[in-house]
Amino acid sequence: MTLNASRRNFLQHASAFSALGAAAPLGINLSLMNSAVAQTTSDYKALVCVFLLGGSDTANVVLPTDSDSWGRYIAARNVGSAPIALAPVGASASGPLGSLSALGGVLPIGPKTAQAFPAGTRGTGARSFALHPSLSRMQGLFNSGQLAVVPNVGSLTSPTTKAQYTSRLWKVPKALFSHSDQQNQWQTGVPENAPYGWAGLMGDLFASGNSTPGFTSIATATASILVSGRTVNRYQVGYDYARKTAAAPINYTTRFPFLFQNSVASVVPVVTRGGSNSLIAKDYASIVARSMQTEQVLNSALSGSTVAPPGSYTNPIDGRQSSNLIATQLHAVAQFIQARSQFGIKRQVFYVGIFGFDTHSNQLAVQTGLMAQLDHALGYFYDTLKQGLGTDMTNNVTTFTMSDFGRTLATNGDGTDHGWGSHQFVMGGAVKGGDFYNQFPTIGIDLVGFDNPDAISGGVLIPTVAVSQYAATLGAWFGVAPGDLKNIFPTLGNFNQTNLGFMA
Amino acid sequence: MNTVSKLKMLSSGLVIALASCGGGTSKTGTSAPTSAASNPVVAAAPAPVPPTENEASRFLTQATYGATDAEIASVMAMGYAGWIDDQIATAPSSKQMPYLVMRNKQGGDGMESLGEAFLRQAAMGPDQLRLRMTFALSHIFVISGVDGQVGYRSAPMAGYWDTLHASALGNFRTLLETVSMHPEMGLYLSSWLSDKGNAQTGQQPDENFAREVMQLMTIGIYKLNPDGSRQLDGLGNPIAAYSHDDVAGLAKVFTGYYFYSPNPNEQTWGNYCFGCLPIFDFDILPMSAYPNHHSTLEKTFLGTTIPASTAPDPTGDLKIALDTLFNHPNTGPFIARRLIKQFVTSNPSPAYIKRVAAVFADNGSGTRGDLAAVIKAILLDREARDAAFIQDPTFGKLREPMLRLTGWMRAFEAVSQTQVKNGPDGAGYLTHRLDSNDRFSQQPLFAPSVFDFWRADFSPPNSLLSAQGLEAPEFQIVDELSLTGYMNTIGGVVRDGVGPTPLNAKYADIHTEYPKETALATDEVKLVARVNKMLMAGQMSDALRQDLVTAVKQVDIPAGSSITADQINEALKLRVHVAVYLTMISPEYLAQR
Repeated sequence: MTLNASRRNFLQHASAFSALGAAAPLGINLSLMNSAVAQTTSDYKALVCVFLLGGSDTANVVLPTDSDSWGRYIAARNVGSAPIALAPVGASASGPLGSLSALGGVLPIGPKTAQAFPAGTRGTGARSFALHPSLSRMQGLFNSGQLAVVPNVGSLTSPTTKAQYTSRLWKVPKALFSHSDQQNQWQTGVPENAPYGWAGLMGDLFASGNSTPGFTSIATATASILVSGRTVNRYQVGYDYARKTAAAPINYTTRFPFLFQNSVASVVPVVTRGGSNSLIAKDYASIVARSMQTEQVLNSALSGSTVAPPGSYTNPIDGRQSSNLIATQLHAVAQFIQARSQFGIKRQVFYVGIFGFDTHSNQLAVQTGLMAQLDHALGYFYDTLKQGLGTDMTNNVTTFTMSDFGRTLATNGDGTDHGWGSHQFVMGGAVKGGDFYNQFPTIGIDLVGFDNPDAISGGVLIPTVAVSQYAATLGAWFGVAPGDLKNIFPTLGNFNQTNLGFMA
Repeated sequence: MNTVSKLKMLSSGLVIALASCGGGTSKTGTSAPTSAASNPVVAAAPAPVPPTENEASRFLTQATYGATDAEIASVMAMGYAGWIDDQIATAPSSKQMPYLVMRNKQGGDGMESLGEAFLRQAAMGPDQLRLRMTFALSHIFVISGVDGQVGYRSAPMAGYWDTLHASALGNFRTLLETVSMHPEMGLYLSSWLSDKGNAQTGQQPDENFAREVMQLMTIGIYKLNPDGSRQLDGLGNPIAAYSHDDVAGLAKVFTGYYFYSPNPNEQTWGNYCFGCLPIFDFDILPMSAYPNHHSTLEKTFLGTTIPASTAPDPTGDLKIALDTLFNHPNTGPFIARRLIKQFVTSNPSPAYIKRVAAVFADNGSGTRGDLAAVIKAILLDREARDAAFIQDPTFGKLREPMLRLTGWMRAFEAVSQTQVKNGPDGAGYLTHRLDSNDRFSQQPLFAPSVFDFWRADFSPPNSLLSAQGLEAPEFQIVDELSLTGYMNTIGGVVRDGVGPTPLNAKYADIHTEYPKETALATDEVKLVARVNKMLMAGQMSDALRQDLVTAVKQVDIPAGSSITADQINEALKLRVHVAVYLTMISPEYLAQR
């Protein structure tokens, strides 16, 4: 299948629709697929990405608490004008509300599989770990086996050691440390900028098995590429649960009713026809057509939704309750999952995203608020999947986090700078939770007398698991065949382990 | 028009035409379109024929917040170059910050007041070219009120806008320095209060501004050729313009800066003093250097090394760093491309970029970074002016939402009732928040991140554009939700105006009765022709024109002895609403060419 052929098909269908006007049948296949790759599935599976935009400082999210690691963590972070170090396990939440000491200590977690001490860290036996103090729901989900941690994952072209990186002769991903480029690489699974998202490419493979392929790929946050495929379009919905509407209807009928009463035909072409040879106009018209075609069916389906919206979350720093920008998006996702049968959907990919993780300054307060939202949101979503949809969907839906990059272990006084490797979470009933799926690295900044084999200057982690391995593991669970995974992730073959094993 | 400006017009027209001779005509990675883009015949120096109305309208769509009858007449009288020279000589319009201070005292919502200040300048500002350049620069030198620390105080944000405005047609080196030292930028990209490192603890300078000033504001990620194309290594891979070491080196330069203080000392470092200074001064005056907090280590970046020193020298280090960025061979083509994309087309030819970058390097008098010369070169270039490009499928840009709104205001002379009541120095152009997905998805100075509302190299996935390797940055905010938000919002704007409805008023604050269009509305062909001229520079397809005529005709004009003049006028206005509304939601209009 060539790109141009599929574009032509798309446009033919889009224009066929526009000629029919608003009464067009809603089952039109917006994302025509080569039937040869149609998958036969009778079940439902969804991948839900929660993207933490800006580069999450995961050195404060998953922490090794052995004395050697903790000592170097404190040495690096309990300094500067506004220290960003968290309190140790067991520290009491002693301060008054509004103070950082109200947070309490980091929350212990025990991976099922003993983590060995890496080369740069002294210690015997198994290493111990903890989560950020705001992640109490996630601590519970980890300990009960629904949440896994993948340590030190990042964009990689091939396995890379510190010596190779510092030699400057080794091929490393393009534009490391750049927000836009690293977001692209996490979302495409390609260590140089690519035009299609890996989840979108997986959607391409399954769209023909969906009765309404236009709903294969859904984004609640804007401007992402993760769920855009070669043929599958990202369908953008809103998540303002106060309005409850997930799609926006074009309601010119309310202001200019006569335009519809008298002659629909004179209006629809105006907005769905490129009208000139301009590619910009034609592409814009395609999205208008798609929007008009889908919003009615979507809104009528979702208007019957019984999914309970999330409540507000409490910011531990100031005690204030606010609406949770991650949870409201996951509420929209849950409504789609509930409506899966109405749309005849077997496989679906979702993109949820939230800004604010670029914590160069004021990190302790900002990150704490964000972690509280993440914890509340994942807890809400898990509960909703378990009990809020009529059927327990936890085994069918896998939720995972991604972020531009991790950050420096070094502080800049009150925040951290752009890094590389980071620790990410995977949640769901099909996840082999309660465990870590990579060696947790040595933590520490290179100073006189210490040379961290896993990190470069400022304590920036060199990833030991590639985004492509992380994503391919999710893809294998989703049902993508090994050969297709190699097509989606062209550098996957550079790594020995193509499945990290965190999915059942 | 005086003789001097006539001569300028002639000479600059000639220079541009000559510069285009022999320039490359192929576009990167795409087959050359079958149009004048690859046709060198038009390169001969054209006689300075006065622009037609539609040509003037097209020019003004690129160069201003939108065409008006008065400006169309000016461009036709002065010619393009004469109009640009006249604009460069026009005094800057009044600043935004005093307006924000006034509105804050009145208890206004800061974000809304920033929108008011923007719309007010767009509607009333006589220095349209400088204002439009300010808007373009706000897409490159991004600060955003989405960041709580920045958005907390709106008046200094307006002060930042005024800083861009002050240098918009000045020199890029000055602009770069005023932006780098502006406390709002310091706050947004955290160079504010960035301390020198500490070798014992590993504490490092904040790298945020150092990285983004290179990536987004001056040189970009890859080494560029003079025509903006990427330099490639022997394997065909682009060559990085800087490494992480360069970022770390440059970050040391931007240490030891904090809010202005008349007497910076250890007590004022990190403790700004409300009430010590006239209100807001410390928010907009260049940041003060705190030598004790400035790194004295060796600073190596982009091939330049500032040796380690015993005495900290923040001012000297800053000069070396900014000179290095300013004189970097990437900066000309990088800024040329960014500005062309803001004003003319998302996919300029390498030759176009090269011609503009050459003017950035030397304005003809040996001066580098003359932004007035740069914008003149952008707007007078044949790729911007030659009508043959209108037919090129790859030419043009998606109109950004704010320019759709300002274009409507200006074309149809929508005015603020509050402004009329309060006079030019009073409150006016009241607006609601403009940014949300169910409205315009854009509010100046409120981009989601330092990467702006859209990445300059964004290409919409799975599109005709991306299939040809073409970029369309503004598409990054186009989706099912935002486009319906726009279509619904603009319907209300066209009919009822924009902004809150003042007490006892019938319409929203910014409103028009469309007097000129209503006068034509009995004749649907003439009505559509006028809308076509004002909003689309006469570029409507026959099909769109016919659809509009058909739609307008659906509004009957009542007749008979019992019909009042008001009833007739209402029907005529409704005809205008239909024509303007349908035009503004048509993809043809949205693709500015």
